[in-house]
Formats: sequence, C-alpha cells, structure tokens
Amino acid sequence: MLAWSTRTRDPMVSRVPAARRDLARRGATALLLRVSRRMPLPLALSRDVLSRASKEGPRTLLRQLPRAVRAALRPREERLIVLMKDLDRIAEQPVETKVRLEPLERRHLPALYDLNRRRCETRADRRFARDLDRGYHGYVGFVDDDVVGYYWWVDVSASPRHPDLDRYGLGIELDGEDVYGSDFYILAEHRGGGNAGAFLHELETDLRRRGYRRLWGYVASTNRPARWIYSLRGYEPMWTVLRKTAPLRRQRTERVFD
Amino acid sequence: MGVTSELEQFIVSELTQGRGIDAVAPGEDLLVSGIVDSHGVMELVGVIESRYGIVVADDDLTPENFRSLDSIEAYVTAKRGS
Repeated sequence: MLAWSTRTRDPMVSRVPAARRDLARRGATALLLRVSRRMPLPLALSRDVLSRASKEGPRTLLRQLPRAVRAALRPREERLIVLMKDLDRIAEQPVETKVRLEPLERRHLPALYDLNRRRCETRADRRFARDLDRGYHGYVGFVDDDVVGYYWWVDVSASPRHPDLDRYGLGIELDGEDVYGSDFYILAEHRGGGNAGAFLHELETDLRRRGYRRLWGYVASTNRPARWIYSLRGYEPMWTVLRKTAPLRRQRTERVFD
Repeated sequence: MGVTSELEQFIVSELTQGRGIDAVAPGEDLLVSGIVDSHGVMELVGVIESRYGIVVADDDLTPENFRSLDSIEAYVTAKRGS
C-alpha cells in the first residue's frame, strides 16, 4: 500500500496496520492520504491511476478525490490579528459570574483531559503535559467545582520559546514585562452571561499582580465571538498576519500591514 | 417601525427572557448593563443582517457600533446608505 504523507509530499509505505489489513482483505491497492492526524482518508485506487501518478506526480491522485474533499484541501488565507492588552488598564467586569481561576498545575491535568475529550480535542492532552514540563503556565477556570475552561501563557523566560511565536510568524517579541497568552477555551455550555469576560478579568488581574504589563495574543479575524470579547476587554489590534493554510503544504505566514 | 424599536423588541423578547426587562432606552449601554452578552450580540448581528439586508463586516463588530440601540441604528443607517 502507498501512502502520501503531508510531511514528505512523497509516496511512502504506510505504517497504519489496521488500514493495511483492511485493504489487504479487500485485495485493494490504495492510497492513504493523511490530510491531518485526525483525518486519514483511505482511498482505493486502480493500478492505472497509481501508474499515472508515478509518472505525473501526486497531483494526479488528488484528481481522484471527491469534489468536496478537494475543496477542503484547497489553500485558504486567514487573517490573524495580533492583540495587545495593556495590563495597567484593566476594565472592570460589569457582570458578576461564578467563574473562578486557579493556576494550572499537574493535578489539574486529568480534569483538563476530560474537558479535551468533551471538545473532541484529545490531541491537546500530550501538548498540555509537555507544556507543563517546559515550565509554561496556565489558568484553569471553575464554575462551582467543575472545570469549565483553561488558558495558557508564557513569559520571556519560557524555554523553548512558545511554538506559536515562530510557527505563525506573529512578530511578537517578548521582553521582561510581556506575556504571551494562548489556547483560551471555555466549554460551550458555560459561554455567555459574562463568563469569558470574567475569566479574562481574573487572569489579567493576576498577571498584573505578578508584575507583567502587557499581554499579547492573537485571534483569527473570522472568530467573531472571540474578537468581540477581546474588544470589550480593551485588547488593541496591533497588526495583522496572513496565514496561508494549505493542508498539503507547510503553513506560511506573512505580515501584511501594521 | 424604526430600527431602534424593532431591535428593542427583539432584545426584550429573545435576549432578556426571565430577567424582568420589558423596555430598553435608546441610549442605554447594553454592554455595561449586561442586557446583551456576547452570545446576544452575535444573535443581534444575525437579525440585523437578515432584516436590513446588510453585511456586518468582521471589523465593524466593535463595542462602539453595538453599545446601545442608538449606536446600532446609526451604524445600520450608515451601512444602508453606503
């Protein structure tokens, strides 16, 4: 069986035993197009197509995909807005909520893994454990005794640097009074009613108490609810980067305007 | 019925249920008062787009434009005229 890895962009032998067994049972020669780790797409192909692909290159194989899948694979552009919050100007939260925060510690990981399962983001489990090992920080949000959300942050001492800063070409350079915040998430059933604003208010206050003066982050331009919350809390748009998402290519970003 | 009255009706009937709010003054700060939360704003945008045939651009979704019924009416009027 052949598989085309999005990493190498070359045909290679697949190491997915279940798919291999299934295809062998059906006597098929197949391509396993790994669009993402979550969505391997087995596709049965004729010998003729494979033969053409070996001559004309892997794009031949793409033409065998259903139209909807091809559309999903097309490169897209997404604007990421880099935000900065001045922690000397923390807006009061108009509505009282039940949200309370605790600094993220290892003992919170099982509850966060459960939460990742509820949002179908189990890939984040390994990253969370790794980021704690790296000394990255975070907050866990509670309503009563239930974990309802989280938020991660690093300062300039983080080693290695937070991968977002390089991967997305955000152009953020932290100094001693800066923090980069990421992965803000609240369970859908706990959104609204001022919970997200209260979460941000709590963490901004705690970061200022720790001596930081600027909180950096980014938001996708199309993420209206998040943009609205950040806007309400006084996060200033600093500049925009253009992320070109191409599932079959490496991600590229470029700064488009200040 | 004007934009302000129509949207007031929507807010009172759909966004503030069970809170005993039966009127919203045109200049009242919807955000500070907590009358409309972030979910409510998104619903309000949907209603504005479908009822008045305008597209609220991502960059227009700011507290300045959506702080009160007055500011929303000014925004809708400007968009319709542009």
